Amino acid sequence: MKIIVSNSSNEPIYEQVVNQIKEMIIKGELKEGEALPSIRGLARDLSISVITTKRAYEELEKEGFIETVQGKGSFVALQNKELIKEKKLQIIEEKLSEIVKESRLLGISYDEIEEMLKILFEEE
Amino acid sequence: MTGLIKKDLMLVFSSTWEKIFLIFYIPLMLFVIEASQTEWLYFILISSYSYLLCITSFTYDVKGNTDRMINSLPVSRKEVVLCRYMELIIYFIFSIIYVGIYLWIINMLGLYNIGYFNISMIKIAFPTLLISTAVVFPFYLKFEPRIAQIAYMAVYMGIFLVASNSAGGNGLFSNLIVGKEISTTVIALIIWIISLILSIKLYENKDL
Amino acid sequence: MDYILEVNKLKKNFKNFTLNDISFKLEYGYIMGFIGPNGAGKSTTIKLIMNLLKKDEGDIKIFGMDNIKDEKKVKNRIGFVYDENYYYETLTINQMKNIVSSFYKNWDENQFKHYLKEFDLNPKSKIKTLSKGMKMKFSLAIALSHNADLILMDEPTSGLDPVFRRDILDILYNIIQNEKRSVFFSTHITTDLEKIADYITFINKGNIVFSKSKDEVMENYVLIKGGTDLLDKDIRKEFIGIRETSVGFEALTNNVEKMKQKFGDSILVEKASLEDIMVYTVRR
Repeated sequence: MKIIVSNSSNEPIYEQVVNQIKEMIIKGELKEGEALPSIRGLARDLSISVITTKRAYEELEKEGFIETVQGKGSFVALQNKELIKEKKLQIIEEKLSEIVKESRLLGISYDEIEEMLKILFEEE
Repeated sequence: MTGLIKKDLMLVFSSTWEKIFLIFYIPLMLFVIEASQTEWLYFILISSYSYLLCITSFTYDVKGNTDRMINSLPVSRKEVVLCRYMELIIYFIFSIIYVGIYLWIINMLGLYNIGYFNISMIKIAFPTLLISTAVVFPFYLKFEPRIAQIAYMAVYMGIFLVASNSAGGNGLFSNLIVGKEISTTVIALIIWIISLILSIKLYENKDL
Repeated sequence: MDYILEVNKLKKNFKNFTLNDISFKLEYGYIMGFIGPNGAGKSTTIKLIMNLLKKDEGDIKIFGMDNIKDEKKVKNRIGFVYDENYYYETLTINQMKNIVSSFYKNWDENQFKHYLKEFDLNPKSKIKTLSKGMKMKFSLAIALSHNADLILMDEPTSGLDPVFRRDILDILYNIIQNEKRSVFFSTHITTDLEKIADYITFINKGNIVFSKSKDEVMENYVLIKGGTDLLDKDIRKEFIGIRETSVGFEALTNNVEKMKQKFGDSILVEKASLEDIMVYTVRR
């Protein structure tokens, strides 16, 4: 499990933690039922405050990504498969929007993009 | 409480100054004071020595700034003061034993002829010690050490005054004390208790 | 809600200084940093909590108990470290430890030995041979060796090198793994707090400026930088503090939205550090 926090970024630290854990869950790097580090242990490992990690976990719980059991800790919640698919598509859509924007600026046509995508997918 | 007492004893008897004092005080006194009545000289030795021990012990926390540390430990101000007053008995008994042995050795060596254990003098020295410390302790709790030291020295000299005045046989003090040891001790105890209550009040309200 | 430390409308009058209506609370399991310039009242507040000074008004509760009525019970569970740590100079570390440990119900000798080793202190060395930093380490070793639930420190890191300061932070992180323990410490060195503190209480000239969660503070206060041509009398007043030079201005505000609206893109908005917040508030 990897969480890297940047002190110089404008994004609040708790948000960074939330986003990174979210991504790991969506990508399947964190499996359902898997235990997350304790709030206090994580604060220590990241050198941030306990309140910050608590807030991050509360946020993740609110959005349904994790579940906290009193006395036992926090675990990746059973994920709604539809929701996960939707979130994955969201990530790709965001990236594609950027590509479309850039292409327009640079004057690249849709056909050229399609060609590139074909080649890239075949490479993998 | 025992922790505090142990601490005070450790401090008083462990410093090098104290050890030097231990060896040289008695011979110094014997050398300096001319006494025709050696029993009053004995009185001076046990009174002044135990008095000095009491005051030294008391001022350890007052001068070194350690009072903040001591009072941050789980103790109450009352206990800190109470211990100081109770240690008096320990210092007094130690004084008697110590002076006794030292003088016995001096007698054995033929250096000086002086009674090394005198019950009637002890009976007078005890209330003297009670009153001396009862007077001086509150000074240290109310005033700056420099000012309190004046009281400390005045009382110290007072002990010598009482002795020299009484050695004559018909002095003001000897008339008051000799023969009336029990009532003197009772009065001294009352003064001591009043001083204890006053000191506790002073210390409980002191800003450290 | 149970608080480990509750200070309520605390007042203390001195000849040249008054501590005024000091109030703040700390829950179990968190770290509170206490910041303020020299002379602001940090040490005074801590001394009042430890009943070294007599308060004029207000009350202080520790572990839910009154700090004066239950003085001994409370102090048994507090580990303290002061900026000036006085011990009996003629004694050795071991002798001093023996004195102190006899007062605590839950003294842990193994813990103490462990810290002595970690801090590189020789139990046989005399107190008078210890440097200020070593005395502080000794204090810390004692404070951590009697299973204290509240660690109370007054400028523990001044006079210590950055390496050891980091070690102390690690120690504090370990303490806080136990959610029934808390730490309260005053410091000038705000960079230490920016990482570890859950709450920040800021005191200036005897008054509490704020007592909030660190995240809230760091998110609400920002630095605005721009050209001096953007300023006028009214705008200047709206900032908490401002620094003008021939090449521009830098100002502290806790009202980002308003400033962004007013100036739009002509200003640079940056995160304010705790030090910035402290300096600009004090210099006002």
